[in-house]
Amino acid sequence: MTRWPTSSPEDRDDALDALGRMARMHLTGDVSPQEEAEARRRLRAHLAREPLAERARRKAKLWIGAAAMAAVVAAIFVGRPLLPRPALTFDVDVPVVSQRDYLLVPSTAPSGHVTFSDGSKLTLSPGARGRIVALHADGAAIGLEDGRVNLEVAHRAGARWSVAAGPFAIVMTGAVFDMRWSGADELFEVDLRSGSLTIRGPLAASGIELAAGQKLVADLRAGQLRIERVAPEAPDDTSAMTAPTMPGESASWMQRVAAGDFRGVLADADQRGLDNTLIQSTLADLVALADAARYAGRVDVAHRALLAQRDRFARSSAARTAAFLLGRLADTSESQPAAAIAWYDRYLAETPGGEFASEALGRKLVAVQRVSGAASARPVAQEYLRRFPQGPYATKARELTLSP
Amino acid sequence: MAAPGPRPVLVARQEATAIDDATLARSAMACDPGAHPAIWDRYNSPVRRVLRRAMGPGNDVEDEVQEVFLRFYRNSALLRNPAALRSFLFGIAMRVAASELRSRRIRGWLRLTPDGVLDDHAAPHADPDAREAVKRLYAILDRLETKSRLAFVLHHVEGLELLEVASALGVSLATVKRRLSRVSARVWAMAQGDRVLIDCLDASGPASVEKVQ
Repeated sequence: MTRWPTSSPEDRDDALDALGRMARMHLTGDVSPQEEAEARRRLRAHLAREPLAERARRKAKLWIGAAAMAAVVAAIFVGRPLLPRPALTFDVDVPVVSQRDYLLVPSTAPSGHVTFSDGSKLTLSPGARGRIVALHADGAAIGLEDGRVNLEVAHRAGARWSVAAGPFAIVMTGAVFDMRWSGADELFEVDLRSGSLTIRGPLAASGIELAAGQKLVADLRAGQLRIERVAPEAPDDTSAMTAPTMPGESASWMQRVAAGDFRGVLADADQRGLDNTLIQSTLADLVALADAARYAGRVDVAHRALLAQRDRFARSSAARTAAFLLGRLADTSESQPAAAIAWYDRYLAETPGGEFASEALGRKLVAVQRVSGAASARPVAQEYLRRFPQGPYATKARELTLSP
Repeated sequence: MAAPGPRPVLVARQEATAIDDATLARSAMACDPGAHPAIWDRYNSPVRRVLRRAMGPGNDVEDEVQEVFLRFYRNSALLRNPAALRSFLFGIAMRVAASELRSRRIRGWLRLTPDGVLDDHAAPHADPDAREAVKRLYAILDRLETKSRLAFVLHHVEGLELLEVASALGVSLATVKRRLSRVSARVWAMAQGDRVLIDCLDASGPASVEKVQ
């Protein structure tokens, strides 16, 4: 029997409130900025199709009623839905060397092709290697280990595709693009021909939306990210989706950062007054402001915008990511490795399995070596190898663990 | 062709946070193109949160979040009190949750994760005992009728006042009181038979415990 007083309905309600508070703490509305951007994109696509869907719904009302009846009968008697949607499948052409889900094109061979059952196509250039990480009914998750690929995602309602390359991740519903990842050079490039997509990773923690005709180049070693405008190869079919439903987005800071208008966003913030901006802005605007400031080299503004995210939105995933970004700023722009180590530690403590965990621990490793020498960095290197044996800092970590 | 008449327009440069709910709702009702993105920005997180709490741990709610905002887009003209935008959205969320709960119940899909572990939407640094307690609380709620479950979740988990619960569920205050009285007694009776829940409760309620001692 509980020690809680439960003699009256009020006492019982207090106890149930306590259980409810526990559930409230565990079930939050938090999602990563990447997931939020994907949800927003899905809604935009749904809304763009809405008038058509409405007509189709009216026309097919009787058929839907009949199908619903059949589904109910099937659910009752068979115990499962009538038409479960199967996961996508894929076929691999020679010269792709495929072992289960691992794909590799020899560097001496011509390009290889992977065709998915929904009509999407992945082309691997010579020397490219990667993996089909997951297949589901609405798309696939692809991992690119190294090299150049072209992906043509067939646009379908509710499609969900993602590609991971090194520390970067791309999500899209329908797009045609070339991408390249070189682990050795720490260089990442995406050249979007049509559609739209969102890229997240170092230098783009809050997510950058690329539009058709834009090319993103991220050079991790130089700590630089730039977005270039190139001519789209074909008219962008999907761009029409955004216009009728959510045109208000075009003026958002997030969109302007995605379009490379970093200085415009900073000028807006200066005009409003930076102090007021930091106190009053939404989380999305603070994230965009921090990104714009980082890309434009306004370290002081970036620092304050990141601190504001942590102060004002402490429970958000953006606040946790801000810890990593503050570490990077201290590390690369402020020459304060000790402060960087503290921020990396904070990020790793708050988000042990976070998407920048490998990057944070790797950068901490380098910073500790710089501040305190190889002997102090060795335990960090061992931890890195244990957690990320294939990570981008694995070579460095191995050197440290083997050094006398 | 007649020139289009004037209509309220959300000024693009105006900070969405500076706009009150009533203005946002009126702009949405007038088909202002800037209104729906602003409403999404303000309410996608609260709607996702209340749906997660209604559906329980381990149940993905992204499709339901989409459905709530789609229904709002289609039905925003029906909003009678623009200042009650939040209640209106929560009401839609509850109808979507109720429909999905019934549907999942029929198909036997309403369940915790296969390994019984909460998904990654759980709060960071979650205490394992509390996570287990939450799992067990929702196992109890899974045994309730949908209407009762939602009333319980809105009041005891989401922390809404009785009037807000009534508004979100589209019933009278008296009905909510009756429903909550019945469901609270039932949940408490089941919770008392669960050692993990009771231990967790004792650990979390020193003030009340002191009151007894």
